[in-house]
Amino acid sequence: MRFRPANFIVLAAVGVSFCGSSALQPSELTSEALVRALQQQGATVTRAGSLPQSSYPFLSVSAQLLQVNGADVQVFEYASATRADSDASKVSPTGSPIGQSQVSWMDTPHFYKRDRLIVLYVGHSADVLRMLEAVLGAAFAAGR
Amino acid sequence: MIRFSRGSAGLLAVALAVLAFQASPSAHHRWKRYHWARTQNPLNLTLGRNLSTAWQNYLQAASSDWSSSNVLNTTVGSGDTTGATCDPTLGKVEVCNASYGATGWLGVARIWITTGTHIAQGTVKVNDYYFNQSQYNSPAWRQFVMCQEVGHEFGLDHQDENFNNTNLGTCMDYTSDPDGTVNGQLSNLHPNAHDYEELDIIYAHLDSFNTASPAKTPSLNDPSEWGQLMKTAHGGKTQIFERNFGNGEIVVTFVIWA
Repeated sequence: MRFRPANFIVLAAVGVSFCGSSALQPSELTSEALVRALQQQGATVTRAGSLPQSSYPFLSVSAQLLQVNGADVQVFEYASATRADSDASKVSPTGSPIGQSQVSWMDTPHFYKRDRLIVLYVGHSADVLRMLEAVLGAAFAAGR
Repeated sequence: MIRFSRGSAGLLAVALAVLAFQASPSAHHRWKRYHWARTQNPLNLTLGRNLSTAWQNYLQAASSDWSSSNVLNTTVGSGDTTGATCDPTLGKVEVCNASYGATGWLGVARIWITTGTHIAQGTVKVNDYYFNQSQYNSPAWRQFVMCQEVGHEFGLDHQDENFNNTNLGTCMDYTSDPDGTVNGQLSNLHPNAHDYEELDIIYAHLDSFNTASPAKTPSLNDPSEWGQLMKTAHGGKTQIFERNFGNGEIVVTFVIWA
């Protein structure tokens, strides 16, 4: 097999690109990995327990509560990305309705989805939004 | 006399259409095609009270507001669940309050659908986790949220979902200033004419069956319906029970045991 410099350069570029993004985007994001990734973004993150599933009757798993720079952020961790996708598909682009539930949010809702996590932030802190977006990508549903 | 060419008449028609659209920007805010099935109007629907004292007047006011519609007649009745669980009951709306935690929501209205678009039952939850905080613990916030959540139960969506624009004067409009006193604007504590118009549209047709159950009348033959024991006399031979239905309605049951 003959060595082709052009192919090597392409493969090296892909490798650098993958490693560069993997620091913030591990292949399978869990709630623990989310906490670490937010801390890497400079956030102060504390776990604040969980809420019963009945507190979110429109989603199929219970919420873990994080405080990110003092703001409540809810994390819904599913058994698989497919199940997370199924619940995410019920959320309207503006955050309500969700399935057959209409929700009166206390502030602007922002829904993020990555791997088997759905993450909800209800608020408008620019810092919190920036850090969530850096780790999770753009919100798939958000109010105005 | 003003004369129009065909071209200018067309332009005028377009302009009038635009003006009409702007004058009623939210004429269509039904929630998909959901509605309660009923064979005649008005729709008679029970709102089950599973509420602490702090909420009862707001539910009663919301019931009165929505019953101003030509097609609705809601009655606040006894609840069949608890605030914490807020389980649904076929044919009615259970209205509940409890502290559901730091959920991010003030209220949730949920409906269950049968035969495609017909509402079979519903629940309303209002979250005391926030309403016990000073920011939301006010008559204005309580009335606004209660009115909106109950409004969803009839098949209404929001007229507007921007928290920061001017109030439309309806509880079906998101706001940060429910009674309009902060920014000197319309109050969003009650339904407005557009809501009633939309309800007229939603309930213009009749169905061949009913999904709403009529209000339950307490059975005086069932001791569990009598309420709280207030007095016992004659060695237990006579007892007085009181059941408070809210809004000044109290049923007193005087029992002479055999």
